Amino acid sequence: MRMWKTLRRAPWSIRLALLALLAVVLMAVFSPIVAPYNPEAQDLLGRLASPGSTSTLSGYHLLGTDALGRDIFSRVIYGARVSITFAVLGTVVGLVIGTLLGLIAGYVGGRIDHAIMFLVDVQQSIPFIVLCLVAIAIFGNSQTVLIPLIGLAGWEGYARYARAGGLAARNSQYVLASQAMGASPAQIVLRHVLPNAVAPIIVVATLNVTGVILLESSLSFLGLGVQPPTPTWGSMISDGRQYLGSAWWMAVMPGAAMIITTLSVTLVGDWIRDMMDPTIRQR
Amino acid sequence: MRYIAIRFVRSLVTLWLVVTLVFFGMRLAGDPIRIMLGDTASPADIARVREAYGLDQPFVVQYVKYSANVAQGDFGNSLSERRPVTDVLRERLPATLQLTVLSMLIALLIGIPAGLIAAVRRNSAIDRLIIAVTFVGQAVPGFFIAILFITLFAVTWGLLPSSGRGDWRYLVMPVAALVWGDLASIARITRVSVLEVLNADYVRTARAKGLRRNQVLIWHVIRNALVPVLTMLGFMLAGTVAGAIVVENVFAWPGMGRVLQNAVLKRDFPLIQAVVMLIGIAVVIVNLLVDMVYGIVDPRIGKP
Repeated sequence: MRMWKTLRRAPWSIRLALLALLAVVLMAVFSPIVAPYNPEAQDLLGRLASPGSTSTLSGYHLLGTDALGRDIFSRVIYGARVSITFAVLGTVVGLVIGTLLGLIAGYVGGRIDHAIMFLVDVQQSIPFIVLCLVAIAIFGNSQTVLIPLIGLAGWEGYARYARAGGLAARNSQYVLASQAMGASPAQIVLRHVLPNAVAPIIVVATLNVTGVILLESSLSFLGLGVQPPTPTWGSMISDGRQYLGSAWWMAVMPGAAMIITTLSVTLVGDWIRDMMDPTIRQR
Repeated sequence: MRYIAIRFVRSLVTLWLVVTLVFFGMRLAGDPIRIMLGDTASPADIARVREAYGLDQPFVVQYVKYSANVAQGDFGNSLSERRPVTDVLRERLPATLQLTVLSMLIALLIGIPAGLIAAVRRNSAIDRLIIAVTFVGQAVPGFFIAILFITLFAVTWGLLPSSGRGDWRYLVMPVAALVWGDLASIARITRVSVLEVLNADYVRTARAKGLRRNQVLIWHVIRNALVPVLTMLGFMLAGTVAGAIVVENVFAWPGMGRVLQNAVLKRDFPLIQAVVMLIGIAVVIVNLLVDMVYGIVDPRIGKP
């Protein structure tokens, strides 16, 4: 009920963003039902058809066709599937690993804290996409490699916030009380420390989703991400580069889908942060 | 001084750890020689080339040799270009430096004033506009902006060349695409940090003792608000380099980003190691410089 109330008070831009996100997620989940055509079906007579045109062989194309006569609308819909999968799975991977490391660092302290924070330092001196490229050179770029890899993006952010939570909890009365009652460290961390550190971590997660989506697109754009024929927004934009003069829609349509998604996520993430942080709300 | 010395040693250890991780990771990846020579190579050829590159020796021996060489500035031979890695780097590094340094400077020159104006005129139309622009900046990746630029300025209007490196006209679009990526974060951080400083006690004191608004802004607000922005420079460099990898690809810019991409495609491990190391060194150096400047800007930092 409370959630509904907050939603009704949200400004129109947030409502619009939420609607857009809902649409993208539905497109991703129900791609086979929503997409008008098979995203890999080619129509070599109807190549590079402009948006809204009809090909004699393959029918109406809302967003046009690409260089192989494939329906761009259908490919954008299936591309949403890749982006949303990475956004969700990737965020969960980084969140779980980063939060656990951060909680341990903050709660246990000492050498373990130093070691984990040192890893955070190392991570920050190399851009994540470079680490991804190294890992892809080593392990290849199958989806089983890519999802955990891209998921690691932003782990250091979660780690730092979770560590702060762990540190604060270590000196608190309620942790002292449960220690006195004989709770194990694992119990204390999961039952008492984690719930108190969770709010900022959720905020970091929502803001990180954009980064995960853009990282996957960048890798696909470089030809090092999810491999063809699976349609992804990044690889579609890359394919469209050769046709910017004759068929701009090849690159622009998947780009527009990507921007609508990332912009909506950013807006919603920022809104969630404002809702959760009373000091910002007052400003 | 002691503070900076500690940071310096830490940075060295960080770099050494990165080199080590990359080295052992690479050796896990399978046989670079087989990839280099293709499936048709005879076992004798493979053995010969492997010996030539020193890859027939045990891991640990290779590692010690490699570390010693790297310490002397020798990164070995590139597998795909068949010449010393340092030659490749010397050839390509200036192009990337030109792009990244120029973009970072421009982004700072636009981003800091924008953040400042937004904070000082909080909740005004211009503040809202700047915030809106930063949102779009965060959501739209540089490579897509680059594509839009090419479509408009190169393909449609024919004003600028769409790829390659040459006079200033070749720089405009790649630099603009990279500035795009940095601008949003700089403006946001500046704005938040200025807002915080504006609420600080010493600003109220300065105002109360009768200083003019602009005097307070210059002597008290800007100076203190820039500290968090300074902290971001290292991250910003890392971000710009990350952006450059993709943007160089779009504009066929002959820099390190393209080198890295090709090296990854061809599994040219010596080259990959050198590029990663170089990026690490750059970020570490910038962070060290930031630490030093810190002590000057804010004397409280660095005194235990």
